[in-house]
Amino acid sequence: MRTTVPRHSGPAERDRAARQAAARAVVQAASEAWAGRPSHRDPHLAWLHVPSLPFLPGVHEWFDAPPDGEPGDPRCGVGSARCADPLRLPPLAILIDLAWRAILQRDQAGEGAMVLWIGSRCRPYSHALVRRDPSDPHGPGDRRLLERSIFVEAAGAAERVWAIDLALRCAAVAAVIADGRALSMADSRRLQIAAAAGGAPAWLARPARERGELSAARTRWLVAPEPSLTSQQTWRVELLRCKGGQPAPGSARLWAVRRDDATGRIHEWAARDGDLAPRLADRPPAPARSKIA
Amino acid sequence: MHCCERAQKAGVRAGLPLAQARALFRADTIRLEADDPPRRRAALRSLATWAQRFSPAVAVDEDGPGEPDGLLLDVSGCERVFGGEARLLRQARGDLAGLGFQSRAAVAPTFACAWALSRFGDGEAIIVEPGGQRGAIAPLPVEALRLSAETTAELAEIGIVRIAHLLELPRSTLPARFGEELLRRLDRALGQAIETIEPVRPIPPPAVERCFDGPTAQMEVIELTVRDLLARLADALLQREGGVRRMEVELVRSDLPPERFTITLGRPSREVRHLWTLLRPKLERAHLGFGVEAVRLRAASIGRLPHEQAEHWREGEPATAAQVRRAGDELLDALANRLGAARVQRAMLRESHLPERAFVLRPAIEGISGSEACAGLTPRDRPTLLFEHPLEAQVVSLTPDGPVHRVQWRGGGGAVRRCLGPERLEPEWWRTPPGHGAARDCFAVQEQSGRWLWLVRQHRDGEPDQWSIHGAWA
Repeated sequence: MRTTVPRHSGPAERDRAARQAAARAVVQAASEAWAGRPSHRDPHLAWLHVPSLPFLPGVHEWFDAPPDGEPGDPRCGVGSARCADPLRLPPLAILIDLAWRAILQRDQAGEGAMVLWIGSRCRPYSHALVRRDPSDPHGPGDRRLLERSIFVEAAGAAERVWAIDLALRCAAVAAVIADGRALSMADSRRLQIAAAAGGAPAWLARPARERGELSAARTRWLVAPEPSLTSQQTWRVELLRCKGGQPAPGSARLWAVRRDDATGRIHEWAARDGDLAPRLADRPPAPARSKIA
Repeated sequence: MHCCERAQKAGVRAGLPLAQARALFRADTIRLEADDPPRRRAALRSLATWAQRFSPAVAVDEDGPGEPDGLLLDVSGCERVFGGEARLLRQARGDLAGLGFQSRAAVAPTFACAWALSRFGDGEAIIVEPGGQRGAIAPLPVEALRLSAETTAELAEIGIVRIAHLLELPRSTLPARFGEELLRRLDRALGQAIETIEPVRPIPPPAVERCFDGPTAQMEVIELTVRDLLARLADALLQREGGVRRMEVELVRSDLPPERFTITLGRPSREVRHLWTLLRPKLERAHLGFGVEAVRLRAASIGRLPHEQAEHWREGEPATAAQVRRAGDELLDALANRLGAARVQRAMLRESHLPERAFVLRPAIEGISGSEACAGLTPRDRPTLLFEHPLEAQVVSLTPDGPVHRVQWRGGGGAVRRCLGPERLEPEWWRTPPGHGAARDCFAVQEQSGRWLWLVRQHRDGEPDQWSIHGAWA
């Protein structure tokens, strides 16, 4: 790239112009390289295929809802009184359902893969891992997930990252579900690399106040409980971010899910039409080379 | 021919032709095993190793007239550990019955006397006090002295069938008529001659060691040595078809006590790469002091690991089920050795209506043991998350035992949208003494946000009710 430097400028100004030109060249080269990356135009990442999205090898972050349901609530800042609420809990019911799908997928390939639950906050009640058969409520139920589940207690973020990394690189792991509190950008990048090497997804449960943190996660989800008129539990699941993905026309990013009282299954992702249309309509089409989706 | 009790009742006897024995049963109900003396002897030998829990000196009885069919234990002094000879005997026979063996046993001051009583004595567990040998063996037949068949026949010819008859004969005449053997057997039984046994010795666990010329504090040298020793240990294990369950590493340091550490594995392994992954973090943290003089590796506990066909696992090829299983075991070993075995757990269900007693967590490297059957609870009845420590809460209800209207805990709370319950859980009266446990009423309450909590009221007579949050459908 050629740069023209005005003749009448002093040496300091000439220097700065040269530096700017060099920086521009680097940025352009980088963005050209980014556009040519095959993963960036991966058709599987189109949001139409959302049910398979959490199973892509990589880090997926699951946020619980901020106390008042609105993102960016100032009361939800670090250390504020609202966040001391001990009942800020990871969305375990949905993660249990995902874990079931992960081991059933691996069972079809004939492998008895494990599911690891890392961090004592992410340890579901053992009976919630058993799938009951509604036609035989007094039977033993399907205990495959319970038998394949390993619960790991790790003290502190460093130990947790080490355990998740090790688990993700193992061929016998179908999925890792971990407490994702206080993980740094470098940690999430390390886990993303480990997951790509091992081929298993890592679902990190992160508190709502960490939504502003940077991370290399492939997708980010927000799970908020929704009031229901019956005794059924319902949640609103929102796809906050999908790295490298572009919304296909008509695709949703907001779903209402409910848990079946008899079996404990989470019912198929059903897009909520009402909220969906205006949200997508006022979004400009995603630029092809945007790093931040 | 040996057979089980049921077959004996049906009329099967030793020496019966096979065809007749078959005719007594339906064809599919009998199982025939050919007599295999080497296998039987090997089984007896491993039983002798097992019996070392009762005494350090255990021998396979090989001095008898026929095939060896018993064990000789020198229990002098050991009975104190078990609280007397009678208890030792009872426990030994009980443990044998647990393994599926019928047994006859006797404790006597001499091996020969115990041998005789256990085979020909009246009763299945006999104890002879010191000095009582003569009276105990007198009524027994002369075969009880472990005599050869010819000697027994000769004695029978002149009408001597019991040991009592033999004891009445003048001692000096016995060797001339029946040989030295008879007198020696008799003396051993009475304790007038010494009898020795040859105890089985446990095979020492494989161990390797390397000494340096002088103390070294160079980590690279020690790492290289440990890897080298691991390879040698793996070779030794390969020859024995074994794998390490627990390995002890000792670094002998100059002027300091040796540094020791242990790794434990869930399943036996002799793979150098895997053992090195487990050892390495511990080795890196070891304190080398003024230098290490020698490195010792010892496979303290080994398990059987048969030879396997070597396979190549190429990149991109689907893994076989065995490879996946092995990868999983290695992951558990690595986690358990770094974090501690008690922090890598598996859950098992237990039969209890109290939620905190309805499961147990066990170290994952101990392997899976069965879960128990559990009462039919739907996913709605129990939360997805049960708190280790219940969270205290304050509750407002409009009627004394009615539904909850407001719940408050430290850090949060608010009005309740819906309240389901109560479900009454009584304490387990068979565990807690009466009057100690508190009955619980469990409510599922929905907050305004839509989240469901598991709220529990503990009720004790004469005290105000205590409310706490035990879990959530997160």
